[in-house]
Amino acid sequence: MATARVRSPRFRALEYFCLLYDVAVDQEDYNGPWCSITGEALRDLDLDDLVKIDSTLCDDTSVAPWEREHFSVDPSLHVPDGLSGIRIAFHEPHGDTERRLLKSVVLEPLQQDPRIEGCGEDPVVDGLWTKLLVAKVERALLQKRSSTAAAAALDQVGLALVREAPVPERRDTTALAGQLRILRWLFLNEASACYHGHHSIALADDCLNHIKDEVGEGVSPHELVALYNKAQGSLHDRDHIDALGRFRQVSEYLNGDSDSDQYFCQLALNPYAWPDCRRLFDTYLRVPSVVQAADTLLNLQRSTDSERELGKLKGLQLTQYQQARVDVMQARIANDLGGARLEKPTPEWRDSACGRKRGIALQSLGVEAERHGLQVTKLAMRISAEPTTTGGESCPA
Amino acid sequence: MSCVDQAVDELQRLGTTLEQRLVWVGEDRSELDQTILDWVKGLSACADLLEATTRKCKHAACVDMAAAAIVRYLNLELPEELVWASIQSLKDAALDLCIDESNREHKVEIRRLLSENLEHLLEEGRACDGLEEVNAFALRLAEGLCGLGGDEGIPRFVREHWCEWKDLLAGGQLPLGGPIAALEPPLASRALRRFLQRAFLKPSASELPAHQRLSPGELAAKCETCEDFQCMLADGSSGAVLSDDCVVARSLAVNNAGLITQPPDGPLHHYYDAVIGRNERLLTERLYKQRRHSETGWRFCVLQRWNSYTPALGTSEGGGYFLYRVPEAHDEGTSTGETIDAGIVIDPGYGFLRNFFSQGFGVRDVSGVIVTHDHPDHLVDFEPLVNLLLEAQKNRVGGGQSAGSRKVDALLSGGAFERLNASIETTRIVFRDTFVRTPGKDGFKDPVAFHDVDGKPIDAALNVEAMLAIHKDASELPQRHGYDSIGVLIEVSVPGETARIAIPSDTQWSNEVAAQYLKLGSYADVICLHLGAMAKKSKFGVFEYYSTEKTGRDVVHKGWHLYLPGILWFIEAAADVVRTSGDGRAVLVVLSEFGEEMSHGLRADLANRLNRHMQESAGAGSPLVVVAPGDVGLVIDPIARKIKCSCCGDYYSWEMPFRFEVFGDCEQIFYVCAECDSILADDEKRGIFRQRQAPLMRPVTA
Repeated sequence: MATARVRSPRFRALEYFCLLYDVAVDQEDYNGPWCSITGEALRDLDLDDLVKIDSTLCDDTSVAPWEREHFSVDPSLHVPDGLSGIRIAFHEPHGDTERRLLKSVVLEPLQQDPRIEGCGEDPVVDGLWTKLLVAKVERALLQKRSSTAAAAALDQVGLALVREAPVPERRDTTALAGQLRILRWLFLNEASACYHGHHSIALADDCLNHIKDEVGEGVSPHELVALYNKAQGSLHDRDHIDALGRFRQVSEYLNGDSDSDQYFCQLALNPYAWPDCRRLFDTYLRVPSVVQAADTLLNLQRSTDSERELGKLKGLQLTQYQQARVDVMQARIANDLGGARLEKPTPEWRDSACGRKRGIALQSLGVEAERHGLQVTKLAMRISAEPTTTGGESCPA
Repeated sequence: MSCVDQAVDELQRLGTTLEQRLVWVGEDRSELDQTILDWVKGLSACADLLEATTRKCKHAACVDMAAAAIVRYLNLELPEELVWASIQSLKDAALDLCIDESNREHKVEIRRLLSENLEHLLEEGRACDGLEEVNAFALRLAEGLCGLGGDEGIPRFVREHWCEWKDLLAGGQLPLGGPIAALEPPLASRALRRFLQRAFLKPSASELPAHQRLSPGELAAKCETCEDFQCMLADGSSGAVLSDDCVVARSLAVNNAGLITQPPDGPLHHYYDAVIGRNERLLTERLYKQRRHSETGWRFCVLQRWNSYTPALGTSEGGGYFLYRVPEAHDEGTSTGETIDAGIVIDPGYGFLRNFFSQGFGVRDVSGVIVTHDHPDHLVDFEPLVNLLLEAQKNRVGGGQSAGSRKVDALLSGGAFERLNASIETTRIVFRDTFVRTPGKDGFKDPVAFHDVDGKPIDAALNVEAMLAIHKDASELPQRHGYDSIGVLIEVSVPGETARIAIPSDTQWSNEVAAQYLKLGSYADVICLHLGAMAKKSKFGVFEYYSTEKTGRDVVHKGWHLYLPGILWFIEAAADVVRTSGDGRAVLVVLSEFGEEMSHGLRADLANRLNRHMQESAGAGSPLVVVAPGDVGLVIDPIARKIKCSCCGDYYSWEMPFRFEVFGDCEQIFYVCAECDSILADDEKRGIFRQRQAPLMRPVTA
């Protein structure tokens, strides 16, 4: 059914772009130069003027800077051709600019009919891509906003995506149907990433089932994304044992064994493959899976096992943000295990680039606060253990 | 830099870190709540520091420095941009959280401790006759404790008291009616102390449950024999009409005669106070106190009588084991013994805690827990134990400095972890580290690092290794990964000596299982074998059915316990390895986990028969394997290779003959050394047994 022409270079470039965008959002890079999100309406969550994605990132000249600056990974990461010149523009807002209900603000851009200009694909496919990208931008903005209301609005984005997801004919073997299938997987994965808990698991499961039915297992790397989302859903659902198993499954798939060769072989062998993208998936899925598995183990009070899990990152190239997360977890492990580990100085989070990102800053400050509290108690115990000193004696040192 | 300087520095950093975190919080309510919770947790650290400095370091400068840091910590600076519609300030929010029903006890303890420390400060003041300074300092500290700088923004919980306090303290007036300066210094100090204590401890009306807000008059209006609220128990013969309260009190007095040392002859609420106070003291002792032991070194204590997988017979005393170490006394001349510094609970099943407390152990003796598989008779008391550990941690401020921050390590089979992970996950302050071992999975043979009660590693003195056990437990793991249960081999050491204790736990017989514990040159000194039952149940009778080769094979390969054949083969294998090694160190086999059908003395009889068999096999020499039936109260010194005599309390080599006496309705087994057996008459022995019978149902005062 599937042939190489299912995924034109432009189509693959957009898939690739989605992956990069997800990496950026996961690392709290909400407004990098490679993906300029203009407008400063965050405060009022007015998205109308906000969603302009100028994806000049894939001009040959702009690839290296963002890699070095934002990802710190090996520049040998392969970027497919075909993204240059894509320009995504959205319709201007209708009417009033007054504050509206969050729900309508979030859903409206998806309900409009925005178009990617210059994509050169079928209009239906263009429209779906645009909606997907709008949803991604919305997710980024809502995650950046990170208020309780924003989290609720994320569910709305997920719901809208499920409604907008294409449903290709099962027996249709045309290239268009093939593209729609892949877009469906992308929509379901994005919806799964927007939702929390059991909804997220259900959507990821749905995606996995579709992939299995349509192209089989072990063919498309999108199933790894679905598996990762499912693990995240389990984590949000506090089903740590399941989450741990799934995170480990993802990282083991990608650990360089032949199991994953199918995902990254040439298109001639597997039209759904991502040739030469193993390194990208290391950054996108493998490292986060190991880190999340270690985090899950920490939640289960298994500090030594968590430390061992982090050992699996040896030899992998971590981005600055990922390294900061690992450092935070090492500090948490030290807090849990105590002893001499507590004597190690905590990293100076605030001075690093990652220290200026809200999520990692909150995590690190939480760990740091715990460390200081433990130290005060420990020192108080040491003072108590000293013989009582009065006026003429020296103070306990 | 002194410890006080360092602690003050750390406390300042803690405050700064929390302030920085607040800057990042934004509108995320859950993050704000978490930050407030962390701030509240910091109050415990403040209390620790204040207690340490006022009690141990009486330099005014140190105390002042610590107090100033605490006041600074309590007055957290809020970022200007932090706006939360329903919360006026973080301090209000934090204090709201403090007086939340679920946190009330914690807060009261903090307040109690802080007020106690004010007493010390005041005593210092009395010594230097500087009442005005003391008064001013108390006022400042009181302001700090309440998070106050002035009248504006007074938190709700102090609003009801604050005006009273402020006027009295600032004006130098005491509730006695006179100025402080007019009183003699000791009297003034005492009066001020009492006032401050009352002020801090007295709950405000908003903190009281609704029914307690009634006035005493409203509560006591009904009883004809009562005077106001002081309802006296009337003599029934007087014909007085009693209130409901009086009737209840009388009924309690009659029905609980003997439980209360002094029958209630005063007001009803005194009677309640006496009963509740006594039980609370007992709980406090079990949570916070550690008994001193005169015997040092490692001890292995059996706390199990039956397997009680299904506690249907009502006599179940499942339990588990407790391995502990008492360190050498620092000063042998004057010491009254040392407390346990490392204690590992193994398989806390039905009634474990009851047996544990009955033997005089306390929650603070526990530094680690091992659960070998997911069956209720091996883990049902795990969660209650965790809850007690949590309780001891949560209220550690009230426990004084010695309570400290203690955590435990846990070693669990994969199935047990699946069952218990929710309780482990939600009690982060209880667990330091959790090790999960599943046969056949990566890391199964990795060493397990336990710590002592103070958190110091004890891998030099205690080495625990997970072993294969063939036993199907209740988890779903066996279908996926093979058998999930584990056994443990524990190596304990004191300088120059080592002993090994094998707990294969519930397992089927297999050469592979036995060989793990019976390696030539390093075989286990003590092996706890779980019988389960004599044989698998059969409609043809226990023994006759299994007498043929085919059915006998069924016992070994289809059952999930050792049963009698497995026990015999294990003992034979142990005898073989002792014989081959030629070092003459007899192995002690503790028979344990008997099925409840083995009552009426069968347990002791079985052990005696096995010992006779081993003696006959050894001929004129010493037996290579000694068998003892396990029961609550069996204490083994694995390094000295001795058992404790239940009568004289001394330890004797397990190679010497012991008599296993069964006594009482619950068939407790007593271990009588040869000497006591020959000296004591039967009546005398029974008298001792009666005294030492594990008081399973009655709480024991430490």
